[in-house]
Amino acid sequence: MKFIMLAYTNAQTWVEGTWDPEEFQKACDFYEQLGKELTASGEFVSTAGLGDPSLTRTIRATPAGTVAADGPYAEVKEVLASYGIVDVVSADRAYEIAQQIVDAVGDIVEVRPLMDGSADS
Amino acid sequence: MTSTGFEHLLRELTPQVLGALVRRYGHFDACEDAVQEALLAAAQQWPRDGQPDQPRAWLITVASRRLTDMSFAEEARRRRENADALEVPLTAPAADAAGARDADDTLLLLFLCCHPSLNRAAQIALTLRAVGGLTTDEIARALLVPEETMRKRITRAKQNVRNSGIPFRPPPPAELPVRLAAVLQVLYLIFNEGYTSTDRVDLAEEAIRMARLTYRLLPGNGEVAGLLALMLLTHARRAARTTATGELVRLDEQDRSLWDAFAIAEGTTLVTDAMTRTALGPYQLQAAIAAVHDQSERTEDTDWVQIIALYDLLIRFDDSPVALLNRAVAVAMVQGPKAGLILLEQLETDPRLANHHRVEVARAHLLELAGELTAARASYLLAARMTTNTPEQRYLNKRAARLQSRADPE
Repeated sequence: MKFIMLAYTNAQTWVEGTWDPEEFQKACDFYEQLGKELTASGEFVSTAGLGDPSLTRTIRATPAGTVAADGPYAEVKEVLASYGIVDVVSADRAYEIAQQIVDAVGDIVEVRPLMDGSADS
Repeated sequence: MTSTGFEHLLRELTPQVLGALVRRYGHFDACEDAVQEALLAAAQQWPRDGQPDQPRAWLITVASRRLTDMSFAEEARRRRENADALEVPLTAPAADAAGARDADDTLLLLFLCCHPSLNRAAQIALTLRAVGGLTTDEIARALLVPEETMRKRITRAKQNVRNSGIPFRPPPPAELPVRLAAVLQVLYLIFNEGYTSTDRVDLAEEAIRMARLTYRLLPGNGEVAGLLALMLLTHARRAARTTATGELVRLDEQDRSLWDAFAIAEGTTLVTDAMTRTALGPYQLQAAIAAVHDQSERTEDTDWVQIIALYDLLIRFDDSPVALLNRAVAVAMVQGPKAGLILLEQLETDPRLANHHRVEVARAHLLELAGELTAARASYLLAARMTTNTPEQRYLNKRAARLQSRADPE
């Protein structure tokens, strides 16, 4: 079963860049190590960190046609910082990995199942 | 011979060659690597130079040579570290003599790949590779994970086989039923992974091929026959199960002329034969249920009374939530949708079915049959939100939309 883990972080900290450099490095090291572990365990599918929220361009449909604007759609406290996709034996295993991330990095992680496209029923 | 012809032959020979090597030299993991290299060499050389007279012997020779090359350094190190724990005498009996031994070897490989010390994902990957003869890349693409992940998954599985010292010999008689059950479950899981997309290896057909192989090795076991029959009888409906655009078609609405009559005949014979001469088991019963559906020329001809009786028996072996749910639907077909809905309500207290989208799918179906269109529509929509399968979600939403237009025609 595949799950996506969406890691959110505090928007203000990101915008102001007020991370503690040491903490930041620790988080980077942690993610690198986790990636290695999940690859070694045969569970890794993909991952990426997201660019700065200010680089967002929002494109949406309106009655007057498509409108594009700089910046995220909504003003929020938490912004999506990175995602990871894993292929694991159970939902509990995905939650366990998310727990590891939260313990190490202190962010919020949402775990959601990915849809599969098989047409067997 | 065409390159596809070679491919088939190579995959047929893979477990035999690997089995022969492991029997001779031990070291499943090293042998597996060596066999992969021999297969690669064959895939390159045979189409160019022609197929050798004895392809199996050719592969064993090439793999053995490769194994010796690989293991010189490794072996020397191991001997120093670990006197003789992992040594297998090189004078072990010649493995490539007779057909009976090939059969044994393939079966031993299946037991090894599905060993309980490996997790499910590892069992599936290893079985597809060692018994199915698929490459790492093919397995990765079939299961939609990166090749590197699959490579690691297989490497780790092989290390586990080595570290836990799983022997290459038949399980003790007392363990046999459990070990065989694990093999059958792995094959059935592979079958159910079957994607419709054509650019991937067809896992459903691969599973059928391996189930056939297992059946040839254990013709007297009714559950092996039952599993093969179940796969054939399910796969027989494949052409009718989706539309040209990939949308699901429910069993009762399928164009039955598209069903594969050959597969139905084969599956029916297999399961009938197994049920008359061996001990009953859950795969035989599920196959028998599939056979009842497959033999009904029209949905309304379905012998639901017999299907209920078969579910009653099945539940005695394994009261799986899905079996209970399907039984409730069958009851509704005989006693009316209300009776089925009452059963569903009772099932909902089963914690294994909590939040299970299938309950909601069944409820939607029965509400629709009962003519309660508004409630049915709500149920379809809820079920669509709960499933994680895209084609099913599309189907459920469409169903809901259709009820909407029937409930309040513009």
